[in-house]
Amino acid sequence: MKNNYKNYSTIATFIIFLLLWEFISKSGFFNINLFPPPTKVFRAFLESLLTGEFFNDVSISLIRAIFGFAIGSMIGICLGILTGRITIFRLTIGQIAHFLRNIPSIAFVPLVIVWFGIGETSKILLVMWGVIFPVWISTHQGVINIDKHHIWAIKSLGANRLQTLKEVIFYGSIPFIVSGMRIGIAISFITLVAAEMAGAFSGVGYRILTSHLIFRVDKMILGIATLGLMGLVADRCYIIAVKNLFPWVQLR
Amino acid sequence: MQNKMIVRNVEVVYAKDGTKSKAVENVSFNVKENEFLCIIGPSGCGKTTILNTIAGFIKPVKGKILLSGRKITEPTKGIGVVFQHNVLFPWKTVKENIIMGPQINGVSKPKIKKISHYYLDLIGLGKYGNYYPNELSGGMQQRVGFARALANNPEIILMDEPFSHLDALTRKELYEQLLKILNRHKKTIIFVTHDIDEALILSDRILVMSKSPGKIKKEIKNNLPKPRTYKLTTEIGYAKRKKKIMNLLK
Repeated sequence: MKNNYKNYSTIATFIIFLLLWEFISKSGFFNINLFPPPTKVFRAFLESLLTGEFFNDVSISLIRAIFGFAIGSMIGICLGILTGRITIFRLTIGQIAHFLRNIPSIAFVPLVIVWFGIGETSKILLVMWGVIFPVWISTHQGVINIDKHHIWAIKSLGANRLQTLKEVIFYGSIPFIVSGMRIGIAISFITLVAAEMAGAFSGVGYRILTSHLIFRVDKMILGIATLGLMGLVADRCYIIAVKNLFPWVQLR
Repeated sequence: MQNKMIVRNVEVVYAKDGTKSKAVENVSFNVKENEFLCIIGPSGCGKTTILNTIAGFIKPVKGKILLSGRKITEPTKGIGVVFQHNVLFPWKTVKENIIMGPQINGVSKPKIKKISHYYLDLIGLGKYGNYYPNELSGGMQQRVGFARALANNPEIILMDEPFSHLDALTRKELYEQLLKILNRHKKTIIFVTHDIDEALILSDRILVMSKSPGKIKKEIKNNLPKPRTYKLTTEIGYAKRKKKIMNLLK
């Protein structure tokens, strides 16, 4: 009952928003070419769907984002466990991380293109770079927050170092890792679009840029809306996956 | 009866911000096989420190601890522990918590299944196997914590004020259940508490501690008749012993 109510209000808000947009766009106060109504954007969507361009762009962008995100997360988790658990790592690479993480990954775009060209490697590397730090910092925080009683408890049950690492250190920091990776998802899209705009032959970011060059504002808006939707869907899927894999994690 | 554990001249020093302070000093006692030993003392007297040292979590600066003749220097599966707070792994279900020990130690799958059924029934939580700890009450969590220690079949179980944050009614229930379980499974137990009733109802022997630095002040044999229930607290012999301990704790 309550859930239905929530769904209806979301849908209603969305419809009102679109109607308002349509109305303002066609009202004559603005240049319709600069501010196209949603119906025109939808036509652009159908057009790009028919040519196969839409599916192509979305899938290539998704693949880049997923690879970069997955590799970045894995590296971030490993580094977080190392710096959280072992003092010498905290004092060495931990300190370097605090320097590196302050550099926006977008700043690396030209450099990465010079080094790796405009192929898939550079896109994935840039996304990876953006994801590593939030995941690293939160994993590190999770590891140092683990209650020492849990570590004592598992050792008293006879666990060796590897079993302690897996059963307590890793699982114990999952709530932190989960929130770090969630931030990582948002960052992957930001970095990816920057990389695709700087040099690529496909992808949603590339499509927004080329639409700009041929002055198709409707296609630009389509690309932007697609990014918003992709981010939303990615976040929802992530939450569902976390709820299924780790039902004990408290999520809102 | 044989000594299961021997603690000799143990001294523990804590260092904080460059200053060192003695937490416990010259602690010596034995625990016999299947004996229930209570350590009672005011808060801050170092009773938890003694327990953590015996378990191998803290290294003493002096003295030694022997379990069945073997020297204890680090945590071992021979010594089970039940803590006061955060007893269970929140990321494991009740069942997974209970079988953690056998699983780590490579017990076969069919045997683990039997163990999980057996101990869930033993603590009366047969229906709660797939629940997560945060879905259980404090009393239930403590029962699972005890079952987890028991399921690993250690030589001795250390319990650190496991019931201190529970309400009186739950506590009373758990005393009786604990005694019933120990009747079926003979176990050597060291139980730390600041509650005189708890010590008198559960123990065979009580060590009374004094503080700064923590020392054992007196040893009291608790030969109140068994089997015991909470009703014991209304008897005259009980009141006498309680008064004696109260005076010692002053």
